Amino acid sequence: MDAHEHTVLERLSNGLIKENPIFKLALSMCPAVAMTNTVRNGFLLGLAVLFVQVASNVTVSVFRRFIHERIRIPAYIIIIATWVSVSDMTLAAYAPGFYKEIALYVKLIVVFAIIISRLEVFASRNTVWPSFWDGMGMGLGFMFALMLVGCLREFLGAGTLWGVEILPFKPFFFWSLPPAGFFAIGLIMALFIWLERRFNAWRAKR
Amino acid sequence: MKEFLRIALNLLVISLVSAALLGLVFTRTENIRKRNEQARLEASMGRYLDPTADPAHYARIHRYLMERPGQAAAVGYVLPVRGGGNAFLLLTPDGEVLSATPLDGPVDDEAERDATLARALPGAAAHYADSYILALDASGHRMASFIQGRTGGFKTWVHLLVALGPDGSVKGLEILRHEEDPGLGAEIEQEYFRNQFAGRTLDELRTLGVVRLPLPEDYRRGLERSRWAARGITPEQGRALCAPYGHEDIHAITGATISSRRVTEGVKRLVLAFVKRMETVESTARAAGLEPAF
Repeated sequence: MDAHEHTVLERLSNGLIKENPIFKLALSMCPAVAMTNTVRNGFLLGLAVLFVQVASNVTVSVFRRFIHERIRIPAYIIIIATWVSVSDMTLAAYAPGFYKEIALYVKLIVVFAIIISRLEVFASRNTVWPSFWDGMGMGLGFMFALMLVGCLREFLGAGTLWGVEILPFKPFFFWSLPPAGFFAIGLIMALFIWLERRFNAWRAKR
Repeated sequence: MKEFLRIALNLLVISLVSAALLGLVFTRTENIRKRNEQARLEASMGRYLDPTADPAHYARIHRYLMERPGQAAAVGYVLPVRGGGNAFLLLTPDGEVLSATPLDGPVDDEAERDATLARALPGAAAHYADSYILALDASGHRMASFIQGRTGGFKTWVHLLVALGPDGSVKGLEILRHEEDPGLGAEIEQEYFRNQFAGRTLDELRTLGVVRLPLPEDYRRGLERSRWAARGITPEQGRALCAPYGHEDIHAITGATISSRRVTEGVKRLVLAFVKRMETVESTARAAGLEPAF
């Protein structure tokens, strides 16, 4: 792959739309289902993923010639786990208030498929700068998808958005429970792909 | 063969670099994290003390389960004694005195206590169980007691701080640390759940259960104390909102019945055991020749 093909904008739109981790790649669906009952949960998990994705992408891309082909998967896992633990300890010491909010999410990230798949597919074959923006795009795309799912579920399940009361009652509590995550993601995924096809057809016609 | 060595060496170097980085960050942050946790604990306790009457000091009692080679299991208490310093009171599970040993080292955090206990009781293995913190005024009168313990949650330990009044009734519950699911079990942190425990007497706690009923809206408004001011509720009105429900069972969090039940059981167990154990400690410490500082 030639690094010059990757511009900042191309990487960001790739992560947000073209290869959106949730709606297109369908990776890391487990946290996406479990953690999206509110917008805030989606945002915090997205933030944690964004940081670890960017840091791991950059690390792997810097050392990509050093890491032996046969042991790249364990090497990636070590790199991800190191960044997760470093951010966990640093936040606990220097941002205790914020850490209290985000601690639950940070610890989950080691096993996210999206992170290791970007290391394998992109960062191990590209230079540092495109890898950095690939991490940004994927992290933001993950955050965007989680917040969108969170919006739908929080509004339908609790009648609130970001904890602010919109409806004075809870329309369908079902939407707050984990199984509803599958329905919410399925519905939004279908809409997402339908809109993209419409857009591509419209652009092809012009 | 050469390939095999190169792979092993490659992975070894990666692991070493990672371990060095983790070790560096850990040594730089661990003490700060401990200080943060201590500050948070003290802030949590402060919320249950009368702000006009400053406590003269806290007396900290740490309970240990003791394993001694070739002997029956025992219970040990690290106690502050009059005139400064600490002692270790070793009891049988039935409350018979086995020994009382003065401790010569610091006992402030768990690692320090482990080292001090290992010196005082060579050969025995001490397993930390929980801590009791008594807030005493200048004349040694007990203003409040705090139980720092843990209970099994939905996934792993939930670390609790239970505040008790001088009469043993619950003043409040704080969740110090937990890993329950956000949006479901993690709601145990919320005031509408925690504050349901406030005001429960010892007798009520013995029979306290959990019901799966929706939380009445006025009860919720009464429980959410930090929002009283924003909602124009005076403290009297807030307490009046809670009054009709304050002696019912705990209303489980919707979608997190197991977490609610485990925390309720944990509070009951911790409080009832605390009362019983304090009685035992107070009656046996003097018999063992100790002068406890509480």
